[in-house]
Amino acid sequence: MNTAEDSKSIFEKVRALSSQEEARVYGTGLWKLCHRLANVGYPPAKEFFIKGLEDPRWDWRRVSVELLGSHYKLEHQVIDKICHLLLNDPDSGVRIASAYTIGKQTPFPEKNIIHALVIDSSELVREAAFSALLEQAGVAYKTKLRELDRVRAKEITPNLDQVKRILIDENLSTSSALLEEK
Amino acid sequence: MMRFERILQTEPKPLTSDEREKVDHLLEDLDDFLEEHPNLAEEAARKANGEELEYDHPGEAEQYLRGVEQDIAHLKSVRRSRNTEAQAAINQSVKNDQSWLLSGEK
Repeated sequence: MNTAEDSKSIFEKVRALSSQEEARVYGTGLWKLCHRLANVGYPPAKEFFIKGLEDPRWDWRRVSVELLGSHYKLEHQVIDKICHLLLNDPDSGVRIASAYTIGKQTPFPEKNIIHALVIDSSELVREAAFSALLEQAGVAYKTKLRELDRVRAKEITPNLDQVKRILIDENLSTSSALLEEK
Repeated sequence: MMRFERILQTEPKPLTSDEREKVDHLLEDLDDFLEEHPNLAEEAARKANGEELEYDHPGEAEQYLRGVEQDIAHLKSVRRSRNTEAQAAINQSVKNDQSWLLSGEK
């Protein structure tokens, strides 16, 4: 576990590096430093990652969405920015992370995740949206993993009909009714 | 020279800086990810038992894996148009993470 002093020092380093245009997050050890900050919920890092959502570099946007989603409680305006990334970011890795993050931070059924499930050009983004919707709907984790294995085995396609089928199979009638209303 | 003949004349290129980063990501970051999440299997078991975790590391791992798969797919798609050195780097990085994706071991 980092001390507050460690976090401050790591944060200053990450912030200084991020201001260098050529600084890359992946393959340089920088991801690890960013994760350390998020893992202790270091508050200044949250603001830093929120700013990172608008960074022109795909790697800074991707790490920001990833770490915000799994380590911080997000406000509506931040979630709105991430919804925009889910639907518009040219990097599919950013869109994958966005689907997960929105799924964690919003109630079922989130319309942007449904949109991504239906129209995204990347198979892995559609799978991420499928996974996020199942988790949002309260499908048990074991069941979700089993259904994802079926997707990988090409037994099922990740789409809205499959989400509805799983909710019925799992007797999640409230979630099922909410999805029908959408 | 005709338009389509020019395609045949296209020189294989080195990795772009984005591709270089994806290669480095596949080669270097996996160990860091596993080191930062030493209790991943235990946390996944707790999540499977319905426990609410302070941080959703199993969910983080799931999306990390998808990101890796997406990067592998991208590198494979450009491989043919890259030079020998770039192709070797792509092969090595893809092999590194693909074996982990398939077997959980590097």
